[in-house]
Amino acid sequence: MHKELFFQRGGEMAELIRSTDWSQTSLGESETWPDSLKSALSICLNSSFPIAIYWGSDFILLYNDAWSAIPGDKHPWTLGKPGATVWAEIWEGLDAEFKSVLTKGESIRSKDTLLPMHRFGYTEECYFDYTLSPIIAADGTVAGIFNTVIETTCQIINERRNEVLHSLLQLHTVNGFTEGIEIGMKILENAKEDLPFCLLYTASDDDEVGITLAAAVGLPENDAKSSTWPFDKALHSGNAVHIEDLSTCIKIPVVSYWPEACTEALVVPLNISETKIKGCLVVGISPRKKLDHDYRYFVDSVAINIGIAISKSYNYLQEQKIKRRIIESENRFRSMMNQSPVAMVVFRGEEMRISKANSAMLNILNKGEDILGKNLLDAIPEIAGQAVVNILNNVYYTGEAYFGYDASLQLQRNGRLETAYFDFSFSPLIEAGKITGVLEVATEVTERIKSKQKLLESEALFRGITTASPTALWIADEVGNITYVNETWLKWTGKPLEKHLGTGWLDAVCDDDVKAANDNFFNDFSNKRYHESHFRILHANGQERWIVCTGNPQFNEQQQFTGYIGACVDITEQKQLQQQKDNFLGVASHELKTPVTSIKAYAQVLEMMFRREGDTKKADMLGKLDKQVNRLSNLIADLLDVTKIHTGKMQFNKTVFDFNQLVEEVVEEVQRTSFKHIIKKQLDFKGTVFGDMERISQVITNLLTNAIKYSPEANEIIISTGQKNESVQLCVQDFGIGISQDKKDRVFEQFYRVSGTTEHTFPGLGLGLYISSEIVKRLNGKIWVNSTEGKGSTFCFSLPLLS
Amino acid sequence: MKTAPKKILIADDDAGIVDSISMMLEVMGYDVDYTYDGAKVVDALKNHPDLILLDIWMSGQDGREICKKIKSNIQTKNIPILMISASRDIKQSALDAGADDFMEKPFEMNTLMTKVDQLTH
Repeated sequence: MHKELFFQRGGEMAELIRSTDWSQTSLGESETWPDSLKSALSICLNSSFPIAIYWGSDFILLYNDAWSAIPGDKHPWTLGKPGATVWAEIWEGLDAEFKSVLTKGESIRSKDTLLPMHRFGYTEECYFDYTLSPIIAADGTVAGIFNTVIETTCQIINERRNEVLHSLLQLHTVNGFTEGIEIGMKILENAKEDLPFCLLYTASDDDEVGITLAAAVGLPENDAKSSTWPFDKALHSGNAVHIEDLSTCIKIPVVSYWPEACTEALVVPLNISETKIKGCLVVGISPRKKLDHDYRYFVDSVAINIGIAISKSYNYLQEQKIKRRIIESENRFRSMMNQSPVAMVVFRGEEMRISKANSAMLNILNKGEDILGKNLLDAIPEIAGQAVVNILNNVYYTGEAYFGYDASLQLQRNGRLETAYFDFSFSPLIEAGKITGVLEVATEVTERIKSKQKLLESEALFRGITTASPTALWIADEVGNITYVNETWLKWTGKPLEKHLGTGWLDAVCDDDVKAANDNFFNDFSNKRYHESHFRILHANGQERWIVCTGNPQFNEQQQFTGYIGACVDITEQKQLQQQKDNFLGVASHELKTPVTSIKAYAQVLEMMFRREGDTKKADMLGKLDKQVNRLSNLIADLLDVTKIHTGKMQFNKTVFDFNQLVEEVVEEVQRTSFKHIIKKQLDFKGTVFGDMERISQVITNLLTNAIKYSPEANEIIISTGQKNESVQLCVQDFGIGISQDKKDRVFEQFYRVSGTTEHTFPGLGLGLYISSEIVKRLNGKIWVNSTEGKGSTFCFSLPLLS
Repeated sequence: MKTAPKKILIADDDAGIVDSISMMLEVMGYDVDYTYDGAKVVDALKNHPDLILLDIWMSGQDGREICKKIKSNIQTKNIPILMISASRDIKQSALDAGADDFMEKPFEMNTLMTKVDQLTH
């Protein structure tokens, strides 16, 4: 009955105790248990609080239903086992406490004590609030220990986790991204019990590199970097991914706060989609805590807070960026306005107070910054009464913008009132629907206007000059089209300007001269050389007028050919005078020949008579007279030839003749007049030539007599002939005074004579070589000279041979 | 037997030329007739000259026209004509007009004598 009594109630544990065979234990049959045990056990089994009894010196364990949860899956094996066996993993710390109670008979209370329980297959982090009270036996000794216990694991851990979450709240007030992460991670670093390690990964949406490690705690950074996590899975699902085998993500064993290594982790996506950032928080799971609902909730909360910190800092950054951009753009506008070559000024209010003006504007106004803040008319008093003030006021009152071009303004600048020109705009400044001022943007165009005026003036001057000119002027472009002729030309021709443009001018040229005028012009033009041409035009009065047209090629600064500028002069009068002169010379020389002929006849008759009479002396004198007459007649012949050349009347009677024979004859004739010089012949050309024999003989004679004349000290002349390509070439070499290099080519010019101190020594009109060269040229030949001053000259000519 | 001297007609409007050339020709043994007037050249042919020295330009008369007239007349066409001019450019046209030879002023007396001798034989 007694037995029934203390086991009667007490739930499952009472039942279990009853059914246990205690005889094999140190307690012995339950019927033999002392009263003290029985009464304590009775209290225990009837209590709804967790109570255990450790009985005897080996602390045999008895407990009630409420306590049975504490040993976890070790229950019911724990019933009746010694304390040291049940709590082998923690007995070391408990043993002393138990013994102390047993010996001293005093109660012990231990609050929130960490007692890692190996239950449910792993060592779990557990906290307990427990008392150890002595159970006094009838003999007054302590026979066992009465243990009441409350597990506070949940409470402790939740408090701890709450503290972490609470700390994370401070992130909500942090603005910087880096700062937020730093503080957040520091907080997480202190939550090692729940979060053995934390890795924060972030990436910008537009970041092609992808997600990268932003921060790590509880794991050496190199280890963290070598880890790989299923971010995509987490980010796509939006849910945390549970890594149950950490070694799949990180090769190295991860040491935790606890003695055991970390084996699990959670990859939590950060919900920060409102930013352009995405990220994941990877946290290690405590090896001593099952990843239960609470744990997950905690980790999620941590992740949410970190996410908030990132969003906030991102938004803050964005705000900062925007603020910075606003400041930058303001600065830019300010510096733009200041550096702008365009002048700007802002007027405020109806008094037109100058609130802003950039340096370009101040420069234009020739004013200092002291005008800022002043009213328009105080700042720029000279503007009073000028049209621009009314325009400005009008813009202010009507709100209609105004644009001005080439507008003139009188400004006090550099100590005097100057007229300046501007392109400008007045734009109303509208704030809150009200016109508060006017912005003026202006560019000074004074230089442009002035140069335009100067251009107009110079054009007017140019036209004035060219119109007044007795000379016709013309301009041609780079392809030879006439682009301008002056009034004088228009007056001459009696046709309007447009009739002369391009090649129209040729219509004014007399028919006979059109081809020559056109050919001359384009020959010179294509060679870009000085142009000179003589032709006749039909004058408006019906007369034919001779004009000479000259022009020079024009080149711009880049040395590009731009065309011609030229002039034409009416030379009809000169032509007539020249004609008269040539006619006179022609008639005069012609008339001179007749008396010369008579003189020669008389002299020769007389000479002959004296010779017959044997008066040699008188005969010789008459011979000399005859020679002088010959000289005179040669001079007359030269004059006549020149007039023929000028008037284009030189005629050629071309025949085929033996060139060599002609040379022989001329040499013989010249040799007859010269006793000092021996003319040596090297005549290698044997053949006939088609040409004017007499004229060619005239050239050879001229070259030979010149050679004799200009080598008074020498006694030898060499005449040579030969064939060169398709022409016959004749050279006369002397060993006389020679010609200097610079005068070499001038010897063929009309009237050119060897100058200097020796001039008087060599008489002549300076026509011989000119006539010779004209003859050779007219026969399509060439004439030239090689000479060394002091050594002698070699004059040569060549004539084409008929093929 | 000594042959009769050849008769030379000098037609030139310049008295100096007529006088000097006549003197030369007479010295050389020729009979000389002369006229200063171009219009009278044909009349002078009545004396049957053996040679005419004809100036190209005789006070308004073109010697080449006179030459053509003489050469176109059957009775006078065999009289040789030596045309004389101060201009060598006339030569071709003179020969074209029928002149037997041409001489440019001034000339050497030797040249004249050679030509006269040739033309009168």
